Amino acid sequence: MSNPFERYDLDPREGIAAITQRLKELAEEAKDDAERERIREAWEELTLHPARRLKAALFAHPETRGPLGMPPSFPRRRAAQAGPTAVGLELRDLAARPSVLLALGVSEVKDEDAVPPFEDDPVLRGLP
Amino acid sequence: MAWRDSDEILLQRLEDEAIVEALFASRVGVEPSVTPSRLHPRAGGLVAELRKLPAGAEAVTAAVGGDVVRLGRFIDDLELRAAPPELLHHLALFHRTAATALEHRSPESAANAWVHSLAAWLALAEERLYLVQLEQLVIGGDATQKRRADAGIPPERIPLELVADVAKRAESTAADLGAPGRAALLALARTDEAARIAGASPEATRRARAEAERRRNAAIEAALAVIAEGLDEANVRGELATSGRTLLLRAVPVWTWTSYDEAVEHFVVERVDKIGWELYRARSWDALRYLLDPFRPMFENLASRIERDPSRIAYAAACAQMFVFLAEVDRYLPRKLEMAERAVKICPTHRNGRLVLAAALCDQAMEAMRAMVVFALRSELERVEVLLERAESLYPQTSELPEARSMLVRVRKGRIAV
Repeated sequence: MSNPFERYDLDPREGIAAITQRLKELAEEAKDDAERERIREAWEELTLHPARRLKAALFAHPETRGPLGMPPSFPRRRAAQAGPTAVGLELRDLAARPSVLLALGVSEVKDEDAVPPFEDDPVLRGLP
Repeated sequence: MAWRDSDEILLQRLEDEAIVEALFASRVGVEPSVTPSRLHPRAGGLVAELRKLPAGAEAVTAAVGGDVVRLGRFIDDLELRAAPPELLHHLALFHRTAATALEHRSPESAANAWVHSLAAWLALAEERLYLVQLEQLVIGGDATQKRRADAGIPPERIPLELVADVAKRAESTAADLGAPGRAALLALARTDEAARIAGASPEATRRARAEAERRRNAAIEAALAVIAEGLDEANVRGELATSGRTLLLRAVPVWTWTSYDEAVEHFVVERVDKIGWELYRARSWDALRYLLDPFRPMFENLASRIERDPSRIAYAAACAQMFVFLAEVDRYLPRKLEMAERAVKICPTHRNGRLVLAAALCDQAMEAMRAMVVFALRSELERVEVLLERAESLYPQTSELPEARSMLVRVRKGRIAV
């Protein structure tokens, strides 16, 4: 992907500040100077030249997908049992799609989107 | 665990990404797993947009079941004027990526993809509002009004950005006549088709055509410039007659690369004329025949264009001269006559064409009379008379005419007419 918006997963509509922030993060995580230099060039291309930024934006797929929601919460009892290093999944971790549940005659097919409790937050639990 | 709205959205996004990859793979003829993806995950938004259309949702469902061909047909048959702008933007970029993936392997398929990409851009430019809003979001926050104005592109000019993008591929491969350039030139010659698919206004159609023609001509000139330079240098060294043919031969692959463009034919005719006269004056008939042979298809093509379109009269004389040369170097009378007739047909007032044809007609008449040993068919004598009258009307000063006329008088007196 030669388009800098797509190469660095930037949304053209978010403006210069968001571009700068994202590229700064990427530059800090860069493995070597060459990669950092490429990121700097992309930053210059997208922030110092509005005409080039517009052309790059025109040739980058717009974001028209539905917004991503929250990840599912980790069940409390399993979080307590599993500890911070548990990664395995079991059958009970799988959610059946509404169409499947309807076919099985289950009336309550959807859970509400909820913010996970603090104890399930992967950052607070120290999971990678 | 229970299924949530967020899970449904995530699943759909993943499905959309997989479908757009499969659709892309079916377009470019490569398995999705064979090459790294050229599409950004946001390209999945194309499928998300198609889901919003009633018939589109059905095509997407079929694609989820493995039938991406139906989805491909759906996007090809889509009425672009009525399509949402977000979908048009995705389509413009999807086809563009497909074109770049195909341009090395299949220039014709790549050209089709370029045409569809341009069509989507043209339809998007007709809608205007989406592009205005996108521009506002992307450069609206820039420091000064003047800077915004300098950087901005009016919506109607945005399809021309794609034309420029395509033309760059032609110009950059003009030296080595690369396949991407061939695809680009094919596409640049099809802007009217793109405008028709887009339902673009006559003004937008004209704008796209003019820009594409300008850039196409520039790319072809770049490809011919190398040959022109070589021929000019050979001319300065006085080696045009000896090395001109070898240098000019490169115009044949350029002609193929440009999909038989008329500009290459004009170039060749002009240059053959110059080399041809040098050989003609030196009476090097074999060398002249050798010079002309590889370019016969170009002469034929140009002649057909002139015959079809009388407005091309400016090129008629130069093209007719090629057929005069061909007539001059042919030893077989029927073919000599055919070439001379063609020259006069292309350019009825061409002096050399008329002269060569008149001489060939006299030769034909004399050949017919030589066959009359004792008897002469009246019909044959009448035919000879007609041939000589035509020769006289074409070019009264033809040197062969007096001899042919006196031969006819002798035949009339000496043979028994039957």
